[in-house]
Amino acid sequence: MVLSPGRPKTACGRRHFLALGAVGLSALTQPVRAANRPAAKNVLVIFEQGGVSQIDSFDPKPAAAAEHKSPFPPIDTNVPGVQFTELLQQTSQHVDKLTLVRCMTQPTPGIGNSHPKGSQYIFSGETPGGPVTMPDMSSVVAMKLGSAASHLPSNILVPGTSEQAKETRIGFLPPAYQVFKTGGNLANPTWSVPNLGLLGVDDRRFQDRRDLLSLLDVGIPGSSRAQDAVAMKALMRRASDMLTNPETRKAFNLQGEPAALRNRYGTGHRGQCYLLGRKLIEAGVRFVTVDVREPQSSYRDGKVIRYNGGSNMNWDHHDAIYSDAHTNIKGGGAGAGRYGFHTWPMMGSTDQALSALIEDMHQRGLLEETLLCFVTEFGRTPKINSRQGRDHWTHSFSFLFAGAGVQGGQLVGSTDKDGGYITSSQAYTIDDFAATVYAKLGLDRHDAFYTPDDRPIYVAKDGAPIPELMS
Amino acid sequence: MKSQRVCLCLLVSGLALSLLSSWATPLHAENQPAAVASLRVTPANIRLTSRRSAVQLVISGTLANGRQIDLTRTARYQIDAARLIRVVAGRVTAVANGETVLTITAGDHTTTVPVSVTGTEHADPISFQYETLAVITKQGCNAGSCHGSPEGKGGFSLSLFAFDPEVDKRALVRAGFNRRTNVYDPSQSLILKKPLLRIPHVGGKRLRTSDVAYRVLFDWIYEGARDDAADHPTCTGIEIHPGPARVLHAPDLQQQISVTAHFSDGSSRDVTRIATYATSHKEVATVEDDGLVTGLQRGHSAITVRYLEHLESVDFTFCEAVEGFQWPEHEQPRNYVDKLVNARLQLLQYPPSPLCNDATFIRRLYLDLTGLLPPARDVEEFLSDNGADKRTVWIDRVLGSDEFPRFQALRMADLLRVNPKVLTDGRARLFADWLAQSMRQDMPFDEMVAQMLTSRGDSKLVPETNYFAAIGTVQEVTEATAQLFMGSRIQCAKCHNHPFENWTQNDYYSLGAVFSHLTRDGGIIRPQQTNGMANPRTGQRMKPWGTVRTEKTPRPIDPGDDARQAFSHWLTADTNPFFARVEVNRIWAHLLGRGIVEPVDDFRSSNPPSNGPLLNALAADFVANRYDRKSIFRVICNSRAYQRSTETSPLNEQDAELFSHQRVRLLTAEQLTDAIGLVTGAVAPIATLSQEVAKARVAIEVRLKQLDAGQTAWEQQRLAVAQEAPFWRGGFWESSQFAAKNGGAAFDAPRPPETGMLNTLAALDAPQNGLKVDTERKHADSIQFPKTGAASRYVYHPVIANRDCQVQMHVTADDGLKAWQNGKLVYAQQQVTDNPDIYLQEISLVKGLNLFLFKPINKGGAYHFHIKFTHQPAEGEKTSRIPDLPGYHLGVIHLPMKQRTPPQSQALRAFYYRQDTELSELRTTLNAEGLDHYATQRPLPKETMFLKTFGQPQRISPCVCDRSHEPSLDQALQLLNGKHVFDQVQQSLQTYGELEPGELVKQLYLTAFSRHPATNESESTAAFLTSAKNRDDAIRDLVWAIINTQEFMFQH
Repeated sequence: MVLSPGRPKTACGRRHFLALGAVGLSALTQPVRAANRPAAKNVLVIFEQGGVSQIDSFDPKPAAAAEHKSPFPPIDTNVPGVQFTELLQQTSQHVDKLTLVRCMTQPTPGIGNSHPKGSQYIFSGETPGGPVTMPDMSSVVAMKLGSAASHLPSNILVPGTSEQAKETRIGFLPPAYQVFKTGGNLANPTWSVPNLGLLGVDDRRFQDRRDLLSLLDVGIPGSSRAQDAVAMKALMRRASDMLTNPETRKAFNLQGEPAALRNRYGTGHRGQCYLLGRKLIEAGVRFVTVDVREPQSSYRDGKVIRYNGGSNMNWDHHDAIYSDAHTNIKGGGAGAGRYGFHTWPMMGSTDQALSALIEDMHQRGLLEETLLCFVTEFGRTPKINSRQGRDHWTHSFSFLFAGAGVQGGQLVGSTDKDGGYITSSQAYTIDDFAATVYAKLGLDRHDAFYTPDDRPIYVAKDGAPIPELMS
Repeated sequence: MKSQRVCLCLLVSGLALSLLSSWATPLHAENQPAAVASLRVTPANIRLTSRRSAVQLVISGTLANGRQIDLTRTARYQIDAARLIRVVAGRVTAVANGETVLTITAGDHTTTVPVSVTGTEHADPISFQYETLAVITKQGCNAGSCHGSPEGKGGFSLSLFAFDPEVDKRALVRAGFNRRTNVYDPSQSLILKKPLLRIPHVGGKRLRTSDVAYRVLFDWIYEGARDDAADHPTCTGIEIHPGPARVLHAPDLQQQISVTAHFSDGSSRDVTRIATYATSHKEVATVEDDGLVTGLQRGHSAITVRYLEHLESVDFTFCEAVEGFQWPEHEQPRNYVDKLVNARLQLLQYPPSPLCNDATFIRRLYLDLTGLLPPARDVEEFLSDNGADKRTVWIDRVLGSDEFPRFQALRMADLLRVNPKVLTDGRARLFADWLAQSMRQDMPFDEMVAQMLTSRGDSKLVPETNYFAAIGTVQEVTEATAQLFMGSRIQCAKCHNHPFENWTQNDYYSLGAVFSHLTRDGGIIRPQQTNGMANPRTGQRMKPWGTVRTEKTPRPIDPGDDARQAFSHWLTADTNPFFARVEVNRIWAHLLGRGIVEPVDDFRSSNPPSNGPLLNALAADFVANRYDRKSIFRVICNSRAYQRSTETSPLNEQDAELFSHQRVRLLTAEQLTDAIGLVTGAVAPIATLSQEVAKARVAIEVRLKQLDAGQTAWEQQRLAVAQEAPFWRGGFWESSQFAAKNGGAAFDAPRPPETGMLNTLAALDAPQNGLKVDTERKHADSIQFPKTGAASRYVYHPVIANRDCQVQMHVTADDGLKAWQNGKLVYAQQQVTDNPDIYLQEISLVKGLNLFLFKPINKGGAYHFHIKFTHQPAEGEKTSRIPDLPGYHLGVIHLPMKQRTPPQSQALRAFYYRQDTELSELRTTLNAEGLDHYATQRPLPKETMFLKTFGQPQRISPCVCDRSHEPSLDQALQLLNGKHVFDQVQQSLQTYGELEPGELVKQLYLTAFSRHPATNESESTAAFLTSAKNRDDAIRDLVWAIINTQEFMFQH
């Protein structure tokens, strides 16, 4: 009585996934549930980090007390009844394509004062600090769904150079799903992705090298059965493909875009980051996060430009929020190094880039199957502090969503006359945002992951899909 | 083609999961059983003591060939006419009171078992704690993925695996508007309706009315959903039969197991039907709810039985004949390792792969032991060596190298978190050097661990105290210690009982109590009086783990003991179930790529060793060899198991854990960095550096010998000076807080402190003893107190006078000070000011010991005080200078050699060495000029993107998983196109530029692959080089290609 030695093992653990992922993620991209097609194939998250002031942007409050009121009056958008501040002139023309959620809130204590934790929260969709470090949503999605483009990583962070970009986590997932960070200042005319552009050799020589390698690579005994060797071989092939595939270059090649389009997005760092986000989605990358912060030494129209005093230009406007240039004031504190809310490197470039992005994606039909999210880790105080700034505010802030079946022209939630507290019956958290992303992608959050210690883990366990985005 | 195959695999594994249940039939049941030679029935007599009482019999047969067979389901059971019992599938239940006999027949054998039945006339209510909760666990209601998760599910939250019955009682009986249990109409209870799917249940169907659990739950509710009486006996443990291991042979791959729970009143109860079963290898064995185990294929699997918080496992091995299996003739065991590995392979019929060739062996050996590629010269020498025992000779040679201890210390330093960002001020280096030194000097592992675990003092001076300095909290120290030396991941037990092991929450806090009394102010590790550690759930204060070992009998730990001492005795005892096994398993995993227990820090009965006898033998060898790690390395490296090829055959390629072949392993971050450095020539060859190192090391040895020879003279000289002085001062000694609150008052009485009032006084035996003695300040003897508890601390200070004399005591204290001399109050000031009447005090020293006791008075804020004794030399007296030696060491010098304790001698010697500038310069040279160029040889890691990409650990966790071994896309990009590889390849021209193509290829192959190039390889590469337009670029291309081969990046 003989037992076949070749019976497949049924263990479907962590390494098993890796082997699959490495051998060919494309195998995983076959529609798994054809009967119930997910609304989204891809996700593009625009993470404007630091805490964007809701009152000065998407939730204008003309009736607020004069001394705390935003100096920027509301304007009508192309959807009756929805107003933005005048700083979003261009975006206001695209509200018919998006849902504005004004009732975002972040109730977990201890997160509100921390940008690193807030950023980790945005990346993972769960409040950090639990017994298990949670992986980024993008890593979970990459592992579950792989990529439609084998010559590109499944999840990319553009550019991954901002102060909080180090808050990405792989947690208990295999390292193969770690988010890929492009790096660099995208407005720099010579920008390319390190390690992705061939270093020191041209295409031809690289091909010669690979030919030589295939001649010399005689392998090792038993390597065809060795998990790591098989995985590495597949990864080397994929990496080679990424390095030489013209499609990879094309996906990252901003120079290849028409000048008019590049100008439409804005030729600064932000505009080009948004543009690259669109390009990567178009190229088939599953999950793209844009986490942009204009560098102090940057470029505009291809020329070097310097934002004096702007050492950390995120949205953390504790001081002099309405300054026409930098926010470094006497007696100032944590808000130094920013630029005023309405200046070009801040909302000026954001309005241009965001409106361009929606317009561009809409025109290309990318919104059909891409969920576009515009998020920030929290809002800012309705009251102006003694340093003419606004501090962190977790009680209410605004997110935008578009695409993947999200209804256009929809307004969800409302806040009081100062923009401080939610007055609507709905209120949604970052966990709900994460649950929405998973639901749009057709991922079942009730499928447990298991850590190496066999602890069952549910992603976005504290959230539920935002119903107004799902209908 | 490839992707098709993947799809298929996916499909198959997907299918396999769903088809598992259909596999759960024995594969070869049609075979005729061999003749049974003897029969054994467990239990040997049956006592049924209540109406619901039952006993699961297990009938074991022994076949003529010695194999075990389970006959429980096939035996015939005959009861007598009285019909007092009923028997179904070996399960005996009570019918009526009385005595009877059960006759059991299997084949030609018949045996009888006496049976007594009592108590059937009484009611036999369901026990909430011991039945209801058990079945709730059995049905999976309180699993971590269901209602046992911290948030529960659907608003219904239970404690994980019923570890907190109070919570469960509330959740089941009171919460949910009393709808979960309905005592008026039990069938309307939600805990029945939901899992029966009579109403929607997100968790699906979890219960059938035919389940034992249904009966238990229904009856419990029917009987009023009550808790047990307060004096209900508690369960003390469970016993499983058969256990702890069983080997079954096809076709008889089924085994009934029985589970008996024992209670505190001496009673026991069969819980086979309500215990929970799990299998560690689902593809090897399944287990049914009634404890019937079925083997599906050859292999081993632990069947874990859980009953409430008790967990036991049976290690099953299933054997089947494999077609074509033949044991290779050449496979003769070299040592006990081979005997035991082979026994397991033979049993499970995996033929081992042959030995690897010499080139592969030497590369493997160097990489495993030193982390480095073997130098080309050594490779040539080894390959041309014709000695029959050359591998053994070279194993010893490499074990004797300086690179071996350094590389092993690096691995240790990873786990011990030797991180310069945390261990600042040179402490990381101090600790790392100590680790390397302990490895170099073959310090017994038990001694090394004991030294770390009981260390005290200033972490800038005492290397091993950095074990504690590196870890932030008591909890982390507890968890790290358990994970490192007990192979147990007890962190689960911090919040709830461990889900897969017997560690309870109380155990966790008992282990925690071992370390909870440590303080670490200012980087000084000091034990305080211990008061146990509270379990936050129950509030119960747990006593520290371990017992105090004394001359006579062990005793429990007193508050005054340093609990770490007792714990360390327990841990490093030869009989400790974890210590030796965990360490030999780590060494094995390092050499074979997989632990006998895997993961190496997850020892638990539900995760059995793949070869238990092997693990035990290695551990026994380790103990017998006085915990000498090198000897374990040696025995494993010499085994055929280690020296096997990575090549597999169709008959052993499925084996992943029995070591029938070696594993292919990606080089670690540090190994790969060095390998690239060596093959490109970007770092100097090891031989060059080794010479420098060897020189420095020889010089150090010489200097140490000189110093050792001079120590007695040095001591004599110091003694002479001390004796000439009118007096000299011993060290400062500090007590911990007083046990009694009125300790201060007690000290007004004239009695010396060593009578036992100060509870840690006698134990303090280290140079720094936790006090910061500042010799830099203007007051030569200033002492800083730790911030906490300073007000209730005392310091004592012996002053030894060579004659009666008058001295002046100068006091500086930021508040006040009290001082006693030989038990008499000689100084008391509530506030020490600039007034000399206050800060100066005349003291008469008596010849001999003057024991001063100081009690500083702190009124808040920072805290320090200084005491200085001055003496006006009398006419003709030479000096009152005290030798340049801290009082503690001077005290030691006064002791005859034989009376010094080992720590005293060590401390004095360390101090003596430190005085020598020549020695310290030599040591600096050794580190700077030596092997620090190599990533595998640096005790403190460099941080580069390359290292990080390849999984360099951050040194933030005691888990080996901090180092990632898994291939990633970033790694592939780094190798193909990364800056590090690019820069290094650029430099290869210096190494190879001058060589002729043939020699170049030979050197390159010897360095990179530890072998000569094959003829076709030398020809094709030489042709590539000569035909290239640009020879420099061609060399770089060649080196680049070599680095990107599998043969290079993998260890094989």
